Amino acid sequence: MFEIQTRKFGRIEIDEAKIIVMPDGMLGFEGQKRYVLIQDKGMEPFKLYQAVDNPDLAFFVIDPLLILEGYRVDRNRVIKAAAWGKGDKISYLAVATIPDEKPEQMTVNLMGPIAINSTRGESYQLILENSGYALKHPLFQG
Amino acid sequence: MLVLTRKSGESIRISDDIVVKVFEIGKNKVRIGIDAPATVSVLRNEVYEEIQKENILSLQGSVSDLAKAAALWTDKGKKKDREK
Repeated sequence: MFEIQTRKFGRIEIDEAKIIVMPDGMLGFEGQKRYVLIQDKGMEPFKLYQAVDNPDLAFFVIDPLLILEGYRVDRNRVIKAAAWGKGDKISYLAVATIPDEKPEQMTVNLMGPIAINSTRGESYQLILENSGYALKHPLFQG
Repeated sequence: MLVLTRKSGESIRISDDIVVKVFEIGKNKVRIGIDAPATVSVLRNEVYEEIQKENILSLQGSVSDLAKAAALWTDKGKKKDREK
């Protein structure tokens, strides 16, 4: 276990074995390559995808299957692009955004999910350009 | 930036495994074909920028708003249960 600094939760203790390495980083943040998932009862079902080496870098994320039951990503394509193994355990997280003081207007980016390979402790942010999934899928409207 | 002139049907090779071919030249647009290995990401730049923008917006969110959103989510779940 070791401690990291976060802007949103102060100092927190993390398990080194749970660190996820992003060889390409998040889009726009290619230099930050190590992340951990932070869960807290008060923010379920959301989680924080926190950069280990930068306290200010924390993305709000949620399991896209909670939002869209039939959410699907082409697994074979992901495995090929990331050079992952056929039997690897892969799950997805969608990045969520909340306009300031307007939680009811929260949206989730279903077009650019993070693919997490828990077998390898590695992840990539994908771009599902022609999937028809929205960049801003509303959570509480419609 | 390297700028080249190409005619329809001509192509450009980048490194030893990427080929960019001009298919059709219209008045205001060109159709381009790209041959690249599966590990190379090829995207329209707008899409890349849009997702990058969403990432930045996500960082700017506040934890108190997230807690409120979590409460809204729970309420939504309860409402759904009642409707069943």
